[in-house]
Amino acid sequence: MTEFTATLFDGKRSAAHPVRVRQQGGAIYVYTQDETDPVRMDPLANCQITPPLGQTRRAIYLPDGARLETGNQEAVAQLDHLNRHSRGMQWVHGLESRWKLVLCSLATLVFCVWIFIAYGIPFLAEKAAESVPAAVMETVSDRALDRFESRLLTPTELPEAQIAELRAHFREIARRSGDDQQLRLLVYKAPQIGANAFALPSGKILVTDDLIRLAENKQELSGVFVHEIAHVRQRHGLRTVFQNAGVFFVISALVGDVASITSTAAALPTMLVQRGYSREFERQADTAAGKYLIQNRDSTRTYRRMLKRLSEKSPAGAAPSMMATHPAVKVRIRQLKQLEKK
Amino acid sequence: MEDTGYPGVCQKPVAGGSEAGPQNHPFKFTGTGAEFFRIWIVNLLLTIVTLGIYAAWAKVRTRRYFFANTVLNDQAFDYLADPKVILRGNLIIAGGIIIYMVLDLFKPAYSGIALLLFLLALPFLIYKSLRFNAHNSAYRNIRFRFLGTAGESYRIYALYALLVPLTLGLIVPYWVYRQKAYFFGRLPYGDTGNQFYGNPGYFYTTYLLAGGIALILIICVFLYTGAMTTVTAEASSGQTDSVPVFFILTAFVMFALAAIFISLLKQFVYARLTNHCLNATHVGALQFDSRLKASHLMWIRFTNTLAIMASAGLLIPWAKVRRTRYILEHIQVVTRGSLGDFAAARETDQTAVGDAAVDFFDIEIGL
Repeated sequence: MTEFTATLFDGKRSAAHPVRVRQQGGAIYVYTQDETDPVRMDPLANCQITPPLGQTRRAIYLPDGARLETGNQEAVAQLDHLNRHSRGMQWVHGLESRWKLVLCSLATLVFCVWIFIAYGIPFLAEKAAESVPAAVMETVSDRALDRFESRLLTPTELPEAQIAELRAHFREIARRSGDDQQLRLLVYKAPQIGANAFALPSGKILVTDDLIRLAENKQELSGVFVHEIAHVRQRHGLRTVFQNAGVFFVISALVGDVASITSTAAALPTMLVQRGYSREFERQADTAAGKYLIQNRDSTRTYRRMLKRLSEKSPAGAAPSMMATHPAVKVRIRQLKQLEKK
Repeated sequence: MEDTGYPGVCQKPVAGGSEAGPQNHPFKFTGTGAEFFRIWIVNLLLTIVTLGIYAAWAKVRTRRYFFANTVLNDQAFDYLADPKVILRGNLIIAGGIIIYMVLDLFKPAYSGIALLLFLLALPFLIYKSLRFNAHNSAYRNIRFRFLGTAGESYRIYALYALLVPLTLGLIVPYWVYRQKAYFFGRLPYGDTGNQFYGNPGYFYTTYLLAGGIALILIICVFLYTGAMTTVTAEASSGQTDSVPVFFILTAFVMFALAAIFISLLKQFVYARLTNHCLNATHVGALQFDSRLKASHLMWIRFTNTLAIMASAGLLIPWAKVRRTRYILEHIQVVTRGSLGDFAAARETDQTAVGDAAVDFFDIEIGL
């Protein structure tokens, strides 16, 4: 038996009625002030008790929608025990009321987010990218190429013979580094882009005139070609799309609640995570390039030289390393050297 | 004295005092940052480990916390939404976003159509969301209601929205006025209807003042960065290395300053419009007295942002509680009769789809 004072709101008018409530057996009796006969009796099983939440007053909704409100937490806890509704929320409240458990929750949260971002999202994105049919990749890539072509690309100005030689060199590398299926080399003049190379998911690899001019001979381009081929083989383009979508969902789940203050602040961590993914793919492509070069010529020196010259040509060094899409050239060169030692 | 329907009990006016003169009932907020922090952390953890399913429960718990700690005349508010209904809405919205993302990737022609469909549905979602939230808000066990129509929502969020670019934005203050009138105009408490006496002219004054402040600030920023550029350029002449770093720093400072100014100006607009709208809303004989100070809200927003950044987000709950407390404690209700004298009305249940959609896309509506 439990007895406590409460305020009754009948749900029809807003008046507050001070009452006494007594639970006995499976029923709740409501008494007005000093009366000895209850004004109403309701089976406890038909009552809804609001889940505990901080120090807020608890409410018991009677079957007809009337509301009994009380600050007597212990009494309602006893009713909870009998009523057996909202067990889950009582467990949640148990977590919320103890600082130790909250700090454990915080640690678990950080750990879960880290696991999800470091392993969960990349894993899911890889599986998703594998399931995309080749025909779809073709249309996606062609659309991207169209967009590029109309804005930034013009036909190459290099002599035809040089292009043909490069094509043959590229074909040879593609053959040696595995099957050469859909891989194709496209050369464009793109003064706005400068010396650079891109891989499209469909296997088209774009190289700019400036990049080719930067190389002293075709051997120096081998590393660049294998790097881009690795992007295609490992489906880095599609995986980036899926991973970025995943990060968007995780971060919006984390901050969705208080978007007004944090939506601009959330853009920064989102970008940092996405740039981190990008650097990881670059590292993987560099590893592939390094391994190929070591197998076929015993040295990554030509590729390292090329990277160094590229970095001198475009001084993007001002961006802090956390924001960059590629690892710093120094780091990339060190990584290639380490590959060689193995 | 009123008949309570319970034998032997006569309800006295709770706040005391004579029933003839107006009585002021200030809002109080009893939540604390430490308590909400614990709820917030557990919400985030459970949302992540359940892959977002718990988000619906988390939302209800957060809203309930803020409602249940909003106290007026010794009685708290209550938020009654069923998390399962919100979950259904969340799933529909998440499905819509995934479909949009997939279409955008593989069939971009259709993604435009999907976006158009969403924009067409948006006024309806706003209407549904307002109804859902009003219906699930209660005070003294009497629910609020929202009686605005879907047609009016389309007039405001589709028709007037289209007029904004056509009028070069001149219609914006009137547009915002119509949004507020839509929200505050038909928001009865139980069966007690309400009126909104807002004045479009006040909205124009507010936005003109905000524009004037923005202009002064922009001029100041230009003068400042202009001066800085000259000074730094002279100081670093001969050191070519530092030039890109300097430009990046300038761009960063400009961006940060712009973000701060915009968010502070928003506080100015928010304070003026909230005061105006609440003071222009009458619920039966009940009125509001809202005295938010723009300067206080700006200070709170500025220090909150600093605190959130310095704590890597951990002070978000504290900041939210702090701002809510300030706002609520500068609003009071003025009544002539008792607050215990309102009656309920009947209404059918609402679906939460609109609620979730509006939350997901962070469209600021209402208060």
